Amino acid sequence: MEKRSVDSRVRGVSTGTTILAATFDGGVVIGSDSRASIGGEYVSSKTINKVVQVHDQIFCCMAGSLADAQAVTKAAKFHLSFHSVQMETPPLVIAAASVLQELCYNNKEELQAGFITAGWDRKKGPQVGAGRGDSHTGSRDTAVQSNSTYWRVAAVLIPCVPPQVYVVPLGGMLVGQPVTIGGSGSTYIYGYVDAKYKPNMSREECLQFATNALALAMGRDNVSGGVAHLVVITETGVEHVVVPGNKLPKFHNE
Amino acid sequence: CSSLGTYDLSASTFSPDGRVFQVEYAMKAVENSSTAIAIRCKDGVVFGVEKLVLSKLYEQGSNKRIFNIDRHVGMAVAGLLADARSLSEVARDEASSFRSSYGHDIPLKHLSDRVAMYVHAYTLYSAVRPFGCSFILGSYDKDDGPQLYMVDPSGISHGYWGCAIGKAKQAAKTEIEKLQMKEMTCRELVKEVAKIIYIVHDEVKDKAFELELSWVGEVTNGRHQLIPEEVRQEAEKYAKDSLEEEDDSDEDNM
Repeated sequence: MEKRSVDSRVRGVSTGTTILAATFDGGVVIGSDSRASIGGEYVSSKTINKVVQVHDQIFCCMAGSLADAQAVTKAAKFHLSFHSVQMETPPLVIAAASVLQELCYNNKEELQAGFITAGWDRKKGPQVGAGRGDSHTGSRDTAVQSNSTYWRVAAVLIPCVPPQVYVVPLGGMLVGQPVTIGGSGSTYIYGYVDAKYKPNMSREECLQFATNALALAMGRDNVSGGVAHLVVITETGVEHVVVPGNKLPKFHNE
Repeated sequence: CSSLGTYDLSASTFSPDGRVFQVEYAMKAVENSSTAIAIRCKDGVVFGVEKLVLSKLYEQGSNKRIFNIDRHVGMAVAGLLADARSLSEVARDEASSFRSSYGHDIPLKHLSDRVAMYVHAYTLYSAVRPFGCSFILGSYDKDDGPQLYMVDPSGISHGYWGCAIGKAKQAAKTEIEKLQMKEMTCRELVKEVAKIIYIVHDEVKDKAFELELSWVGEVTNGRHQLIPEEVRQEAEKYAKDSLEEEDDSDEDNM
């Protein structure tokens, strides 16, 4: 199986992207930009929604190859729907993250997709996790990034009850964290996130934080842009917030 | 029940009155085994097994009839012990595979359904015989509370507050029904379980026996374990004392 090229020329449509998820007091915010590009040279879509619902209160952000990410989330959605009928209860966020992890890890040679999972479940509340599946890192335990400056694929799953976020990066690792960022644009906002994220923020503070982070990343990463898609998940439900490009926060040099 | 002609030779044959005799014969194997009981209370589940000791040469504690299936699930069996051991491995595989796919403990109802489905499969063909054992599964989870399920050779599983299998199951059920288990704690229940096993044990037909006791509940932090030595001694003393009292009161009545 030939390896995907490490440089910016990814075959097919890629989501050079910025995705993130953060927990606040009572919920979790998951968000992404909306640009899809080919080879970093051509914007094939300005308005892609990279935040995918895999269950009633569990969402996923995709990064990397859009086709791969869509195929994986489609399979995960089916799997979780079946699982929740069998269990007679909505799936736990950790279960959703594990499903994505298995798909990413077992197919890591073929896939270039990573995910952030976040959502709400009755046991642990809001949660965030990250997972990655790629052919470069080849490891289940390390959080080694690919050599290129672009993230290949990332998914973010978000659960609720203590808000939970899980990240499943390219290799198929699974990590639960209070806040996580992914995609090529994330490299430009690590400092901002480290400095500005606080646990147990209010809903408004967290939304502002997420919007700022996305705006900053979109401002520097050429393959991230468009609008900011945000989803707020709490015990009571799910709310979509879309911030169009011209309404994004502006900073001193704009 | 008597068999009619050739309807009892394989599990793939119904009798004219709609029975599968092989399955009924399998249940007979369970009825010939010594008794096992399990009771669910407010904060956990307690298992008790009357383990008949057929020879003084046996090492003490050999041929255990209570198994661990994953950390949070216990299984007590009655019937053909080899069949039961094989099923305990099936249960362990199911629990392990669930944890691997979904990242969390298997819910007891789901485990019970899966193992019951497996047992049922062996009642469909003439090439195999049904399992000659029944078993009781119990678990405790801080969100879902204590759970108790029993599976019989036909592949049916039910949830219970209190359940008995084996030769003295009727007598044991009568004793169990006298208890207000929903209001009891595990510590109180251990003594009652020991007492019931001592009551139903037939001193005339069966000589020596070992009492196997285990529990899973808040008291063990959700882990299934054998009862600690001091608790067991207290329970056995209570059981023996209660029997003597009853013997005394019987003599008075005479």
